[in-house]
Amino acid sequence: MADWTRLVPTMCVIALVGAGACTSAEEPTYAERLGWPPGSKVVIFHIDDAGMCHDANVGTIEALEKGVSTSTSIMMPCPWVPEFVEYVKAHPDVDAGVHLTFTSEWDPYRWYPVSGPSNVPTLCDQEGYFWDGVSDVVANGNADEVEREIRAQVDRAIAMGIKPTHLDSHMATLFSSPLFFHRYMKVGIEYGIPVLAPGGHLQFIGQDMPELNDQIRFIAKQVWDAGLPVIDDAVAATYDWKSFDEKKSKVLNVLRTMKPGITEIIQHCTRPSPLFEVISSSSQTRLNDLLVALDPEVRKVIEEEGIILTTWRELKTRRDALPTPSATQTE
Amino acid sequence: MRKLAGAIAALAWLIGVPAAGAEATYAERLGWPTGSRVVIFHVDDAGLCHDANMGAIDAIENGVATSTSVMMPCPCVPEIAAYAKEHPDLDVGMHITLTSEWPEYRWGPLAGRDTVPGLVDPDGALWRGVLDVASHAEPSEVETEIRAQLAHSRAVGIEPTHLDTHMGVVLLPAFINRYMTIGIEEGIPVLVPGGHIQASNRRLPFPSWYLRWKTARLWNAGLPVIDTLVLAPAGNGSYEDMRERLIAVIRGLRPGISQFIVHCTQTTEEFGRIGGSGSYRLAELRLMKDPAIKQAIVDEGVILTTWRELKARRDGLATQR
Repeated sequence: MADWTRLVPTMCVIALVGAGACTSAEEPTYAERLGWPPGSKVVIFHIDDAGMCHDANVGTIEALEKGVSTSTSIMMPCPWVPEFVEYVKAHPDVDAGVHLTFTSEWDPYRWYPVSGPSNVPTLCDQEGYFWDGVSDVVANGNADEVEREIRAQVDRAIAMGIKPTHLDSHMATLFSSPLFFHRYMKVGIEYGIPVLAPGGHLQFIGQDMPELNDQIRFIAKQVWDAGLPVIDDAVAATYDWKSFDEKKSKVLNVLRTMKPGITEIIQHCTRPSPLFEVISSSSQTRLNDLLVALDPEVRKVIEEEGIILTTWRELKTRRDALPTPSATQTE
Repeated sequence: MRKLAGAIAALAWLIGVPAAGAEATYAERLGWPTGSRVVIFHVDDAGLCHDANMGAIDAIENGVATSTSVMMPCPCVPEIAAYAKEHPDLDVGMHITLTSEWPEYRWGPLAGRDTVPGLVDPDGALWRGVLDVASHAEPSEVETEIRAQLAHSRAVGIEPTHLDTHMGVVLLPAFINRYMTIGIEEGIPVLVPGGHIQASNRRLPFPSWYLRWKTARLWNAGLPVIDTLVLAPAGNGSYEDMRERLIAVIRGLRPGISQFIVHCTQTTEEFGRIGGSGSYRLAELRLMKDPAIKQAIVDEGVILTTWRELKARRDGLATQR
């Protein structure tokens, strides 16, 4: 679940701060820079929201084991995290990152900051839970508290015994303010953990405000220059594709029409029990994400199109194998 | 003569050597007739999960349960808080939670992991066991977390009618004074049994003299005290066995205020995943609604009460000691 339209203005502001240099569309894709042959289409099927509830864990594991999904990220403030972390420890090859969480949007089932509400009061509503909407976080959140909570969530994952393969942002909250995005990048660079920041051709994620895409690319290049991998594009609209038929046909369309480069396709695979309805009204779109991940035709199209599936772990390994960041700068 | 006995008993309280058997029960001191048997049927663990909320509500609305308390660090607190707002007479306390004992469904401290590092295990959740807390946590950390939980309770709109304890952690000698002090400062009744402390199916892991010594301070500070706590009042076994045992416990009650601890959970699939005690919790919910239990209460003349009533009665005594 994500409001990615916010990504664009945010990255724009950062780009302006950063002097506004642009890269040309003729440049090699990040897939090429990371060593895949020219023309390669490389995809991460990424499942958001692991740890949120038991049903999310079941759906995530099913999609990773039996479906096309290759990566997931965990909501560290949520109560079912230990169940998923146990799974990751038992399956150390699972690509599992931290789904940095700054909202608590389901009415009867809520969570609060890992740092404790009184330590990060601007991140909490009057009841001490995370705000239920991204705009509340942007309006009230203090960037120092955001950074403290980012660290607390990453540190909890590390303390539990996993090495997060990447960081990303629940509801895209951290993409919704340039101040927050800066802290997110900063922590990722400091910990040496890749951060989701698409910055290549932006075929899908860049459709909303195409005039800003060069500036978005500039931000992602900062992440690249700091030694972390970058992907070319992301597809976040999947959450809004509700019915199975709509979701499947649009995912197939993405796979058939995508440009070369690395594209992350975001899913929310869940196996909803009747109780899921108590938490959220989103069970349909989440179940359909799982069914699409398990669909044989989706797998067949991946093969037909010669699409390479990858993980954040592989991106990091490939980035690490390249010469030092300063030496890779061609401009 | 009774006055003299009362004076001696009061003196004994003050010096911490209660004259067992000689003094009036707390029920009497709170104005019930001599010999009254007064009971709070208390449902623990509201807020833990959706099933626990549904069970607590069912046991109170349709059963003999009179009171409940909420585990503030748990994710389903907003659901029970919404119910409490719609039912302002609900007797709802705060179930101070310093452990997180289920295998895969866990919670951390409301004060934050960095603020109370002694309260969290390597998972960043609260410790699984009482002894883990006892061996890692500083009393000051326990106090910080209790205050954070109380702040959270008020933030979600629940002014607790009483404070009590999940797994009994705050009754440990290292922590009990912090727990009681918060109740005294805030004017909120605190669960520590301090009367005859009648033995039940499961014994309290604390000696009676210790509990009486502690509760004297609560009473003197103007808070109500109960006479005994009945843990696992129906024991285990088949439903029929449990019912028979609970009826026997009700029939054998001594005069005074007894709090029966029950865990009422409408166990769906969800609860089966959280922990293994679902059938036990479901049986206790059935017992709360069982006509035979209701009949035993009527037959025995047992008076049902709430923490709210205990507080009102204690306040009515003003500064009486």
